[in-house]
Amino acid sequence: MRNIFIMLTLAFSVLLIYENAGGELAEITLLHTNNVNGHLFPCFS
Amino acid sequence: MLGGIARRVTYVEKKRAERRPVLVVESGDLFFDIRESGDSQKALTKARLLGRAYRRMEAVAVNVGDQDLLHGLDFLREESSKGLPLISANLLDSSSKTPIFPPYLIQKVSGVRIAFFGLIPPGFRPAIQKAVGETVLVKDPLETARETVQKLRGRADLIVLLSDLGLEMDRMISRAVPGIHFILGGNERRLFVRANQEGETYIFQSYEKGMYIGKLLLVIRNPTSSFQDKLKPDQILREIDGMDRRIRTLQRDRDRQPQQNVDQAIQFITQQKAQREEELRNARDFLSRGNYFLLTMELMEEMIPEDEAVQRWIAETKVEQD
Repeated sequence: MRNIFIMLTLAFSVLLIYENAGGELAEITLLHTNNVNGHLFPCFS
Repeated sequence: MLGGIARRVTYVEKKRAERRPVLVVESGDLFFDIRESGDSQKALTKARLLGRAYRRMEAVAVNVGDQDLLHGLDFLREESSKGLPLISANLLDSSSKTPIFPPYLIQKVSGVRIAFFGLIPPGFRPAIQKAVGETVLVKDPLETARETVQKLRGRADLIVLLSDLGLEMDRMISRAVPGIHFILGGNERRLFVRANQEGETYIFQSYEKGMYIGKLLLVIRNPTSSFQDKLKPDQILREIDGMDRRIRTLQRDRDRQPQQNVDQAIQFITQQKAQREEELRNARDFLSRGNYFLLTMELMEEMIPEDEAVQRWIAETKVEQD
């Protein structure tokens, strides 16, 4: 039981190190539109 | 046919299935087109459907553009009451002189507080003025931007302006109001391949009619520091290559016919190149430790399937063309 706990702790630590390897706090995607102007089916004009 | 609201919804849902959080935002003039005349009932039907679709996409902030006022305030209030997060910092009720919609919204994502505030241009065209009468006032955008950024300092890590003002005014605000990280603009329907930089603010627009979605990936290491374009080193490298080519051409000219002014030109370009090489080293260093962004314009092409629910809503409205 104790060994399983140690293994799980180690695996979790490795996962955390892997997650922070790039030093990123966050990666966020913004998706943006403008001037849709009521179009449901746009076409070039 | 490119774009289409049903396709846009599918794209957003696909992005949401990926690992990183997704925030959908709109800079204004979502609902109506001043150039479109005629059946106002059809325009309202389409506008309601767009509101419903943006709620389905779980948009976090939708700025009110001047053309969104074409059918009066009641329509917008109805959309807001249904849960569409309409914002505007400078659209005021003329009697109370207070904002009609929330001036800004703050989203906390992965521990980062992102504030979105919205601005509408002053000076309505006659059709818009007729629709709103004397019920609204537009406060000066620059003054409003200054006050809003002041309020947001310490309450948000990242400040994003959703602007319907147009590029010229966006640039002016960037220069006059430090502290805005990004201006996601509109009004002129421009397609930006790269973001425009003014000081530490980056500005872009995502064309028109929903044919493209502007995708801005933010990689944040220190929420309080500034951003750099991930493609900046590539751009500098291209400039250095161009300088190398010019130097080689001038050297060939000089070898054919020695001239003092050619020597001076070579020396001048060589100095410029050394400066750019220094900038390249700094840009690469910044990328390895600071915040950066990557902007891509995603074309809503025909291979993206249409969302079935939105297709059904469109069929129910019996609107077959714009």
